Amino acid sequence: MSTVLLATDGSLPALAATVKAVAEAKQRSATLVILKVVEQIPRTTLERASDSRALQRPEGEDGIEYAKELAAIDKVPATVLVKEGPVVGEIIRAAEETGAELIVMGTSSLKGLNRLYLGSVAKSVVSQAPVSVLVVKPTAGEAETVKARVREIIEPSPAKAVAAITRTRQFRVGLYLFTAYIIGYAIFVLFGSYIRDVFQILVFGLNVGLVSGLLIIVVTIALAVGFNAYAVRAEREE
Amino acid sequence: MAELQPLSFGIFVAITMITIGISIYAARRVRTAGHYYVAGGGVRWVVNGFAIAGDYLSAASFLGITGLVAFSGYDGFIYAIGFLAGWIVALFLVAEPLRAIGKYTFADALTSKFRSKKIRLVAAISTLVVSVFYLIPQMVGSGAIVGPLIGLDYEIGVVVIGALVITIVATAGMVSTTWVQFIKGFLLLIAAIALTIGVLVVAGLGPIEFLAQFLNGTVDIPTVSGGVKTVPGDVFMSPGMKYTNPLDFVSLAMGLILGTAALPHILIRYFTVPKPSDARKSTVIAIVVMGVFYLLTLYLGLGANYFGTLNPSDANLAAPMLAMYIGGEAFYAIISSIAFATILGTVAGLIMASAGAIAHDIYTEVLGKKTDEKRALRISKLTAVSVGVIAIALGILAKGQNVAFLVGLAFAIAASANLPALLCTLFWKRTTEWGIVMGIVVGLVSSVALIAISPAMMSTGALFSLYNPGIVSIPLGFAVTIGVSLLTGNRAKAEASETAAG
Repeated sequence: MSTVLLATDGSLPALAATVKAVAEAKQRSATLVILKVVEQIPRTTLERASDSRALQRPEGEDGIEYAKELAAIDKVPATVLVKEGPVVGEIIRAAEETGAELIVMGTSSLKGLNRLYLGSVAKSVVSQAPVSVLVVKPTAGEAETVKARVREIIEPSPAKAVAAITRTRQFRVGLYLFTAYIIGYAIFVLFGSYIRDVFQILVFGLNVGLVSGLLIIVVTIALAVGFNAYAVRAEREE
Repeated sequence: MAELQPLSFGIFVAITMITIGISIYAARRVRTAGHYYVAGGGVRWVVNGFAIAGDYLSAASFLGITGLVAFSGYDGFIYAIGFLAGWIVALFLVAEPLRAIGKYTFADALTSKFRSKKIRLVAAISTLVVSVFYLIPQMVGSGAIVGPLIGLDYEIGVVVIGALVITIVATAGMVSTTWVQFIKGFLLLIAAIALTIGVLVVAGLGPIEFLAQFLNGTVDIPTVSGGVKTVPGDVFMSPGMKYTNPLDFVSLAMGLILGTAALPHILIRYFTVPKPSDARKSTVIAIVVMGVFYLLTLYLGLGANYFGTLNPSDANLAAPMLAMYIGGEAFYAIISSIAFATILGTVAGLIMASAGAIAHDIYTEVLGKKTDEKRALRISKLTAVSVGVIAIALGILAKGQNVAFLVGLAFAIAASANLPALLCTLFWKRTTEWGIVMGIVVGLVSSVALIAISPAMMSTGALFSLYNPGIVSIPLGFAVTIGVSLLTGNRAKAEASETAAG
């Protein structure tokens, strides 16, 4: 079975290339190989930040999830490869190893110093690759479409977002506590309305009504603090 | 009214200047609608916790409950309990899931599932109705406070508050609102603690002793006619002083616990923190702050009664008058200024919620006016100014109304119209678009209609005998939301299978 190799770093051009790669793989009935290369060059934080800005990388997004989701939607079989080393060399090597018939990757229009400093990975890949290379350079309009698409796919649907919270252990525990509290409050209201005589019975120098009212306030505070401590610990364990 | 008080006036001016300073400083950072409506979603949870308390502890809590406890004893205390208990619904059911689906407004959360303009429209209208019912008592409280405090007329007090709030919301929206609410929540807690310590020290009694001595002997309550009503202490400290009809007590208690988590101006505070877990943590901070505060309102109200610092024609003044008795004019000025800041913070939150409903929900989304970020921001600010002006007018018209009582009605409306829609959207998969729309409409209309024919609005021959509509309209809201969802859900399913068969 033939393969199409997608090299992605999660940058906007790479995300645009992802769309093309999935389409190519589907048309060729090929497997999509999603390649991410982790560079081993020591860099300062400042350099990393300027890279990230220059490449318009959506925060915290490495492109793999997006490619997997897109491939899944189009029912294209996909595998993920993560390599360490110099980017260009690893892309060429991966293409040879997987026997890819096409390499798809993105490139951005870098300006000024960034162009000098970063160079162009795509340019080097094109000159060294054993097979055809599809270099994707999104226009401003295409970039917007890709951004919207990423948001749609990466951001969970409201139902999923709610389910992610409601299926946690702490939420379930909260439901039990909530039910117990409501029952307690209902009993309090029942006595306060229809069985009022009980509220006048003296206890601890006060009457039942005052004691139970004060108790509700104290229990509410304790319940909130205790539940939060439990939930924080549960979240840490996740 | 009273002549100009130099000391009070000085403190009042200082608070005013600080508020305006914060607003103008914060305004520099507000460039997008996201900054304006939810402070960019970057508020820290501790700050948000105090701000929630500052948003929620309105004039009704501080002035209203103190007055109600002073005049009605235990029946005032039930407000304090109910106001706090409602937060359990927010903590365990609403806070985290809501943060996960919401954006700017209450309607955003409800439409996250269906992207329906119908839902958005009715949710926006419901937001406006609840906020206006909540707004009126705040404005009434502001007039009542500013009058005696600096020697201005009621109407001028309302206008001053209104103008200040307009400044806050029109400059930096949620950013300045958050800071004003944060500072106010903190100050209010300090004020309540100081006043309570004052009450116990001056009375020379321990906290339990102080409560206990009310049960032995009698309690004097001044009446509007100038006389004094004397009741046995154990009656005063038990339910039934105000709510002689037990069903009224139930209805109020129900409205209070279910209304909190459905108040739009409270819910939008959850959109200002970064993560769902932050929403929970800020709720916990708020519960601790408010729990302590509500515990103390019992002492403030009883203290006002104990020392006889009561004005039968305006129960809302019990707390400042108590401060005057305990600590003299300086303390009175400080407490009144904090009460003033209290109103400021809450009104700012309410106007933010209303402006969001009009500018974001109705104008941008329902009417589909596509605008750029800059224009959207300007429209939001213009809307906030208009809502502020309307609030001033309503405040002047509603002079003399009881503050905590009116807020109780706002809770009942929120619980009837908003809570069924919110809970069903979050937790019930079979909820349909029409279920939500009809639930909000019926909950809203029924609660408002029942208030209109209640003894509060019709002095004689009221058609509905309860003061608070909650016990009828809340179950009705839930029943309609669920019932209509089931009906329309089945039809949708039937249509789908027909299409599949055909």
